[in-house]
Amino acid sequence: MFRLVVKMVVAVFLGSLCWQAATAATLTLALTDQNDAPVDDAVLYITSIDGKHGTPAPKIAIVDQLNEMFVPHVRAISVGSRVNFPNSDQVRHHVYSFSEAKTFELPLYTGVPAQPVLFDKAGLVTLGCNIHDHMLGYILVLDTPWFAEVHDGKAVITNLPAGKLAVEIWHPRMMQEAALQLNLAITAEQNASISQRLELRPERMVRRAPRRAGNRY
Amino acid sequence: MSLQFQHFQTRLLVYLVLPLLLVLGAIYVAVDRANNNNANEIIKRDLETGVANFNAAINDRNENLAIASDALTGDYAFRQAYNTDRLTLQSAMKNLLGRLSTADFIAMVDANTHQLRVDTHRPQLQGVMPEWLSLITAAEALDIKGEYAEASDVIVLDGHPYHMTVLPFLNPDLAGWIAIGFEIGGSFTADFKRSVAADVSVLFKDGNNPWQTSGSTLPAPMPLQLATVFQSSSSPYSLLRLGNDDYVSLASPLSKDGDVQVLLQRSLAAQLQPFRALQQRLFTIFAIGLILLMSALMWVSRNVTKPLELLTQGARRIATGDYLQQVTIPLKDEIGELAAAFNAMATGLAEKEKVRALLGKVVSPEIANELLNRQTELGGEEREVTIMFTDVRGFTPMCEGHSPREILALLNDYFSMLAKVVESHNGVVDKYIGDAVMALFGAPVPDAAAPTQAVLAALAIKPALAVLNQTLIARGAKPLAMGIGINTDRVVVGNMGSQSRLNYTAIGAGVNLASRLEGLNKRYGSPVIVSAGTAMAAPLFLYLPLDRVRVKGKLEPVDIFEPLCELETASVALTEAVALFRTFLQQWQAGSWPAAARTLELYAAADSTLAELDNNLVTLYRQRLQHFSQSAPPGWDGVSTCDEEQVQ
Repeated sequence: MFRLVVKMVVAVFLGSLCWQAATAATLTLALTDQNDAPVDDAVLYITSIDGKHGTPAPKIAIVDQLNEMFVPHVRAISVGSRVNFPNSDQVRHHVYSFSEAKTFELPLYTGVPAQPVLFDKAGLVTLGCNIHDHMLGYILVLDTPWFAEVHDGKAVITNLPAGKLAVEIWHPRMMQEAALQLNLAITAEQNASISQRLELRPERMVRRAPRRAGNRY
Repeated sequence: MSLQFQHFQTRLLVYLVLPLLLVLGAIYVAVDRANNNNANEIIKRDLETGVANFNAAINDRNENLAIASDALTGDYAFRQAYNTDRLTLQSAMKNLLGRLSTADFIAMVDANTHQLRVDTHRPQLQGVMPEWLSLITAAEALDIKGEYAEASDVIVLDGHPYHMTVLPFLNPDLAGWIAIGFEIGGSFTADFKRSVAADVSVLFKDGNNPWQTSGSTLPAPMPLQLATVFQSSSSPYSLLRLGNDDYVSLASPLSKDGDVQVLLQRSLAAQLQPFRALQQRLFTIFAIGLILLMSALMWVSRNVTKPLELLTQGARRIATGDYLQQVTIPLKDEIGELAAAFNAMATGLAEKEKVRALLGKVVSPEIANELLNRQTELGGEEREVTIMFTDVRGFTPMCEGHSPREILALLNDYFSMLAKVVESHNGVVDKYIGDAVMALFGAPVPDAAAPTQAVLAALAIKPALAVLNQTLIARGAKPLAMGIGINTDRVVVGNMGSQSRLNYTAIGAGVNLASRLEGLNKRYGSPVIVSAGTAMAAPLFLYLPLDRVRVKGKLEPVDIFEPLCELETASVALTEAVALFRTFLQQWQAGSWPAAARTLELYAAADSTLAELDNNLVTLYRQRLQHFSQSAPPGWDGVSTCDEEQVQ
């Protein structure tokens, strides 16, 4: 499953490391589900520090298509970022989204499309493939520079200014409707860490369960 | 409890036919019940299969629809249309409905707001919660559990039962809920009926309204009737009467709340048709068997009762004394044996009766009975008996000039007359001694009125003899005259003789006296003489005292009397005459003979005018008075000694 084949994606936080060099505080998240299992595919982000929004830092991101799956399953980006949808499979994919934040489609293609897709509006963009119903991916377009994707139950945001943080955690399968909101203070000397449990619902069953014994053909 | 029957035939019928009837009835009922149960079982099994098939048919259609719907809504064009305006979506869904030929409507509900976006059934409706919101919540509950979010139920919409399924619409994540519905009505049930041997009806209840039928395969007007008789109960089975038939019905809920039910029915009568024919045949066999049995029983009972009737008639004939007729029953069984025994009994009785009749002729009937009924043994008892002796006057001279045969005939007539009179007064002729007869009264059967009966018999002999004499005169014979002597005394009566030859008789001095009294009649010219003992024992007669006599063999003198008539019939003149003679006799016995002579003459005057005084007393006593020369001899005790004639 795609969760087991998580590929670390690089070059997202390069800019922010230089910007907050003087007062570098770190926020660490340990995220488990209701079964104390480490959670994947969640997003940790800070909406404001001491009430002030940060300026988004657009980057180029990648959402690969590998083994008929979007990799990563969840991608967090800043508003204004562009995402490349390379197709690593042999088969073609027809990537689309009807989401309000970004409606687009990349009709059947192979390899790397010529142009990355611009995500200029904050919000959740749900990705699908027109010829593979089971392919589902999410791009969370954030209006903040402070965010991190949670992998194996862990996420770290570094180079943060000291202050009062408004933190949110989001996961596509979280039971609660809106993102989990947390408030905490952070100083340069004292790194903050959050240990959080998030109740997740099972993955949606997409295919119809086989109802008849035997081969349908 | 014991039953009493008038006829053997009834008893046979009751004891054999009744149990058989009960057994046959039980068999018939058992077969009927078994057939009914069997038919019910068959129908129930078929109906159960039918219901399973019905549910399978619904599931099949539903599944096909769901699969098709899944496929169609996964279409990219439709996905695109979903995100455009409502009219386009509605149009796209209409198009989709066209492709799903077996669906009746399709609807789309927003996944977040649960509001109706499009309903092809009601194109105007939007932005409201659908009636089947519960199906969405059910689907959501499944979705949250990670199961495939599909929920189905049968619900009533606008007065029609619909099968509805809610499926998730993924675009590509959950965007809405698709609802597909098809009506469970006429075409569905009609299609289904082809595959099941039962009538199919869908019954539904809209809220608290009464049951309604939908798509019943029953012929009109049964569906309407069905809606009124149907009741959902705890038992799924019921026997419903529709038209003229009973229908075994199996109800199965289609909706989760039970407000929609499918009812499969089969006519019981149709199922029982072959069994009915069998039952009819069974009934005929039973009836024939019963008739045969009853005929056989009647034949048997007639074979038994007819001989019994013959035997009964025979027994009745024997009761009336007819012993000679034999019963003829040509059977060799027990009844034949009974008839043979009966005939042997009749023969035995006839022989006994012959003996009795003969005995009755030889001895008197009373003695014959005494002999037949009691043990005949020698010995007797001392008892008061009245003895009568009779004799024919001048029999020996009368015999001259007649043949012995004629004399025997004469005697038989005479004896018959005498025996008849004696027996009619409860007397018994004891024996015949030549022309003399000895009769007993009060033996062998004791009788307090025996003396009276004896005197009455003596008086009755006179007119009977007169009648006999008339016939004798007519035959040219001389009339008979007779004398009778009667005495009442204690004598010995019983069987006397030897062990081989018995004779019932009386012996004793009293018997001798009676014989002597009979002999005295000649002297006094009287027809009857009774002793004082008899006269005292039979006081209701007018007696003429005759004399005081000393008979031979007896020391004590005896007063003797002639009975004249019964007291109540005696005339005054006769009574006075008798009184006069009594006075004379007292004077005579006292020895006052002059007075006696005078009294005798007075009596003689009366005597000559009275026919009843038929004797020669006046002559006798005149002679005696003359003989004693007007004075009594010395030592006169007033007793006449008579030993000139002896009897026995």
